[in-house]
Amino acid sequence: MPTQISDYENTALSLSLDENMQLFKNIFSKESVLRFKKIEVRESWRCDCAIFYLDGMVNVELLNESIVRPLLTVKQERTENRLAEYIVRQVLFASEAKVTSKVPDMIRAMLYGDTLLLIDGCAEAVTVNTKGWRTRGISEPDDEKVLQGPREGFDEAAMFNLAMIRRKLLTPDFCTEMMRIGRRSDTIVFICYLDSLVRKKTLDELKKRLYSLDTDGILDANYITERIRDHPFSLFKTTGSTERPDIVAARLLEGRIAVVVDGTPVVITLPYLFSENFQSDEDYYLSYFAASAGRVLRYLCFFLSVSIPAIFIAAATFHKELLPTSLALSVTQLRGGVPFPPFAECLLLILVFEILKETGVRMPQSLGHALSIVGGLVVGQAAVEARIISAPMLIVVALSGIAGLMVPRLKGAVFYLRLLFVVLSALFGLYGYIAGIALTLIHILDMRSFGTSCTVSLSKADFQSLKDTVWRAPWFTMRTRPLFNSNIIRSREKKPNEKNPY
Amino acid sequence: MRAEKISPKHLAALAAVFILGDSVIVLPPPDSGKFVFWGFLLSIAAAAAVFFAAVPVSSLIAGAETAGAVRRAVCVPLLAAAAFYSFYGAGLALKRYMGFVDRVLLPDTQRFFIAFIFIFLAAVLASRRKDVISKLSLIFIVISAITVVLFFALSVKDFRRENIAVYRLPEFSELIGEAIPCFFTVSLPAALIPVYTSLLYGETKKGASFAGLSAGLALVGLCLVECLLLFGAPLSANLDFPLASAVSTVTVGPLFTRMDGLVYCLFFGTALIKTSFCMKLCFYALSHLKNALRRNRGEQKK
Amino acid sequence: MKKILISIFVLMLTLLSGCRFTTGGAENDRRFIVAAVGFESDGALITVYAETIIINSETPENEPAPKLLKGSGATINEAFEEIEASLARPLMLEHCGVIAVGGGVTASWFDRICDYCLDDRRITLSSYMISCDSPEALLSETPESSVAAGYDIMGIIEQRSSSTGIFYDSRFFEIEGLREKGRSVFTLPFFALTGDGITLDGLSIYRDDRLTGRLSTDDAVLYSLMTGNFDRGTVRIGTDEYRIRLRSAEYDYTDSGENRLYLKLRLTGDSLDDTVCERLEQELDRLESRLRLTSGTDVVGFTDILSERHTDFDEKHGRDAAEFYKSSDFTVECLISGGI
Repeated sequence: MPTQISDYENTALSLSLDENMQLFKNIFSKESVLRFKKIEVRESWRCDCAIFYLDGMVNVELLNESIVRPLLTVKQERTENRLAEYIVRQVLFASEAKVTSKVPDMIRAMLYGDTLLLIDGCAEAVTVNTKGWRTRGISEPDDEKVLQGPREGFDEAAMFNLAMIRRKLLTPDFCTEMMRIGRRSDTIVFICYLDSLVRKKTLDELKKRLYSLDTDGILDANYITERIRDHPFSLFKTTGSTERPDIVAARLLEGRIAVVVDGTPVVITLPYLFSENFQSDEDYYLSYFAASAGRVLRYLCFFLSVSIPAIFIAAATFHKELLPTSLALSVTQLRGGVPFPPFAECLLLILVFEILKETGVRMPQSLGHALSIVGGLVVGQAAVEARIISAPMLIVVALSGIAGLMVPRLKGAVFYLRLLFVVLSALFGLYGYIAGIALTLIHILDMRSFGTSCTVSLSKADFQSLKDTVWRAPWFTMRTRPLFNSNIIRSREKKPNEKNPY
Repeated sequence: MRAEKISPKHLAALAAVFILGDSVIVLPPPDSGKFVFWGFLLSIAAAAAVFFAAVPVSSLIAGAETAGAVRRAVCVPLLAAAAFYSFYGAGLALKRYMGFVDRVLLPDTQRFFIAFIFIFLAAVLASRRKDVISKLSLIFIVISAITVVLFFALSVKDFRRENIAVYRLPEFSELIGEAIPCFFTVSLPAALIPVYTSLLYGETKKGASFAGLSAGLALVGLCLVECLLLFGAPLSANLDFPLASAVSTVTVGPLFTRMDGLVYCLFFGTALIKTSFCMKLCFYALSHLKNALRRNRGEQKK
Repeated sequence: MKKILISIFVLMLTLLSGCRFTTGGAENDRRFIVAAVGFESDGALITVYAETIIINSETPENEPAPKLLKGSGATINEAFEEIEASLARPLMLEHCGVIAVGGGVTASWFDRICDYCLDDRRITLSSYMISCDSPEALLSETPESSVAAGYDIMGIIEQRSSSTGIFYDSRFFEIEGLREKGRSVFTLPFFALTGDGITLDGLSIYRDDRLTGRLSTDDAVLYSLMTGNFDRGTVRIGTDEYRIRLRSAEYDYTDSGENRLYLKLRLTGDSLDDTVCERLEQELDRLESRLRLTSGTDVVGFTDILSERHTDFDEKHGRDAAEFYKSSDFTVECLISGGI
C-alpha cells in the first residue's frame, strides 16, 4: 500500500479520463474531503475534463471563476493538439497554472491547495493555484514584542512569510531555493539568502545537512534545527530563530541564511553568533545609548543569574572571609535555625522558582492573581518565618531567577548552568565555580555555527568587530558587515564614485 | 592547505598571560632580600635577551620536518628540549597553583580531585582549536590588567615608601643572587613564546610577541612592587603567596573588605592558560620531533 | 561516546570526593565568629582570649551577643584547642579584627604570637595589633557602637588615625613587616578601660618584642613626629594647640669627636613660626631625654633608621648601635616648609 508521495514515481496517467479519475479516487480513497467533478466541454472541442481538489484547502470561488466558468463558456476553436497547454494558455483565467505529467507533482499540488484538472485524451494534467486555506494573519509575535519598530510577525504560511521578507529586500539578489523535507509531511522549506553576500561554503553545508534529513515529518522549525545544528548537546544555540521579518531581513543583509519552514512562523537563521543571545529586537530601533545600556544589562544579568547562588554558597560554606563582617553576621543570624545546608536550600528554592515560573506561563489568566499570592506569601513569607528557608537565600535565588528572565534566548542554558555552578560551588567552593566558568567559556569560544566561530567578533577584536556585541554602536559607524567571510562585500556603504543627486 | 594565522592582538594577549602565569602566585620569591626589585629589573632585561635569542632558534625548528639532514640533526635536540621544557613549565605552573589551592583556597579538600579538575580543564583547553586559547587570553588579559591596576591603586594608601627606598646600590653578587630566582620564573619561559608561534603558526611574529611579553612583565612588576611597598622585602619573602596576602589587606569602604575572590580568579586563569599553552606546545614539539625522526629513519633506510 | 564516558567518570570522582556539603559542618551559622583575640602570658603558659559573637540558631531573633572565651596552654595551639574543647562549634577566625597583646607578654611569646598569626591563614594580615594591660578586661567590656568590643576598637583606631594624624601603623602586616626588616622598635596603640569605656590612651613602645614604655596621647603625637609616622594633625605644646603637617623627617649622625644624632623635621602649618618651632624642638628634646632616662636605650628607633638609611653607620656602628646611642647627644631641628 503506497504511503508516501514518492511511491507514485512510476505511476503515469493514461489517455482515458475515467481511468485517471479512478486513479486519483484510489490515491485519496481514505480522504473524506476529496471533491471531484466532471466537466463536459461541448461547445467547440467536445472534450471531457474533471477537477479534483481537497475541500477546505481551496478557494472555491477562485476555482469556479478560474477553471469551471472558462471551461464551460469557452467558445473559441481549438487550434492545437496539445490540449493541456492550450487550456493553460488560452482558456483558464488563472495566473498560475502548470502542465505536468508526474503523478507525485499532481498529488503534491492537490495537497497544497491547488486544483487538479484532468483532461480526456491527455496523459498530462493541469495544476491550478486555487489555494484558499486560512491563515492566522499578521500579528506581532508574543515573545518578540518591541516598544518601537515594525510589529509584523510571520504566520504559518511559508509563501506569505517569504513575501514579507521580500518586501524588505527589494533586490534581485534575494534568492530562494525550495526543498521538501519529511517523507510523510512533505514540508516545504525555503532557503533564503542574498547571493552576493552569502558564504557559499555555509550554503553548501546547509543544503547538505538539509538533504540528509531523513524523517517522517517536519511540523516546526525546531524539528530541523535540532537535527542540523552544530554541537547538538550544547546548552547554547548555534542557530537563530525569529518570528519577525525585519530581523530576518537584517540578518540576510549581514550575509546570513534564513530557512523558512511551512507550517510554522519561526524562521531559522544561521550562522548564529553567541552575542546574539544578548541582542533584543528593538536594539536597532532605539537610540544607541538606550540599546547599549540594555545590552550591558543583559550581559550582567546573565552573569548574575548563573553566578549569584554559586558565589553565595561558596562564600557561606568555604570562604567565610569573603563576606564583609557585618554581612556575615547578618547572614549568620538570618540563617539561624534553618535545618538545611545552603546547597540543599538553594536547590529547593531554584526548583520552587522554576515551578512558579512555568506555572505562570501555562496557567489560565484568571488564576494569575491567586498564583502570585501563593508564590509570594507561601514561599516568600511563610517559609522564611517557619525557618524552612532563610531570607538571604531567598533573595539570592529570586534575584538570580529574575535576572535570568532578561535573557530569554538563554533560558535553558541559564537554568542548567546555574545548577552546575551551584553543584560545583557546593563541592569545591570558589575553585569549583571558577572552574565551571572556565569550562563554559572554553566551550563558548570553541563553538561553531556552520563553519563560523560563534565568537567571531573576538577574532579581530577591533572596533568594527565589536561594535554590535556588548554595546550597539551608532548606525553611522556600522560601516561593515560582521566577519563571516573575508571575501564577501564587507562594506555596507555605497561606492565612493556614486554622487549624491540631492 | 593555508596556514592558520593568529592576530597580533591575540598573540600579545597570549604572551602576556603566559608570562603572568604562575609568576604572580609566587613572586617575590621566597628567601629574597631587599634588592629583589633590582633583581627583577635585571630579569626583565634577561627576558628580552632570551626572547630575541629564541626567535632565530624557533624559526629553525619550525622547518625541521621539511629541512635537510644537517638542519634536522640540529633541530631534533632543540625540539626535544622545547618539548621537555614546556612539559616542565606545565608541571611547575600546576604545582604552584595546586600549592596555592591546597594551602589557601581549599585546605580541607583532597588534593587529588582539585588537581584532576585543573588538569582536565587544561587538557580540554589545549585540545581545542588554536584560536580558543588565544581568544581566552584576550578576554583574560583585560580582566587581569584591570584587576592588577585596580588593586595597585587601592593599595596606594597603605604603601610605605621606605619599603622600597634605595639607600645604596646593590653589589653585583647581591644583584645576581636576587635575579636568579626571577630569571627562572619569568625570563627563561619567555623563550617558549616564539617557539609556540613558530610551531603552531609557522611564523614568529616578533613584534606582537614582544609587546605581549613586555605587557606581561609590566603587570608582574606591578604586582611585585605592590607587595614590596605594602610588606617590605623581608615579609614578602616570608609569605607563601605575597600577592594574595597583599590583596587581602585592600579594603574599599566598609563593604568591600576582602577582595580575595578576584585574585583567586586571576591565579586560576593565568595558571590555566600557562599550563594549557605549555601542554599544547609540548604536543606540537613532540609531533614535529616525531615527524623529523621518521624522516631521518626514512632517509637512513634509503 | 568517549566524551560521555569521560563526563560520567569525572562526575563519579567528584561525588566520591567526600564533599563538604554532605557534612553540613562548614557553614557560617555553624561556627562562632571571633571578633578579637587576646594574648597574655605569665612566662610559662600563654592564655588566649577569644571574643566570640554568639548567635543562637535556636533563637535567632535574639540579638547577637559577645562572649569571651579563655584557654591556656604551653603553646598557642594548645590554648585554642582548650577553648574549642568546650564548644559545640568551631571558631571562625576569618573575621578577627583585633589582636590584643597583654602587658605580661614576654619577648619570646610575642615572637611566637606573631609566628602563629602569620602561619594561621585564618587570621587576616590586616587585623589590628594593640597593647593593653589586660586583654580579659578589655575584651569583656560591653561594646558601645558595634556588636563586639573588638570591632569597637577597630573603629576607634580608624577614627583616631584620621583625626590625630598619627599613623597608628599597627595592622599585623605592618608590625610584622617592621620586625622582618630588622627594626627593633615599633609601637602599638594602647587601649585602656576608663570611665568612658574602651579608650585609646596613647602608644606602647616595644623594643626587641618586649614592652619597654608607654606614651600618653600628647606624647604619642610628639613621638610620631620623631619617628616620621605623622601626617597632619594637632600638636599640643603646653596649653596651646597647633595644626601642623609633617613634610619630611631627615635623620643624620656624626661620630667624629662627639657622637650626635640629628633629626630635622620639615613642617608646615598656618600658625607655625620660629617661636613655635623652638618650643616644639624643646618638647621633642624633653621627650627624647625622658625616654632615654626611663628606658636606658633607644626606644625611638633612631639607630634602626640610621642603619637603614646610612650604609656607613651600619658598617661602623651596626653591632654597637645601642652603645652609640647611649653615648650620643640628640639634636632636633624644626624647619618651616611652605603652607598647608
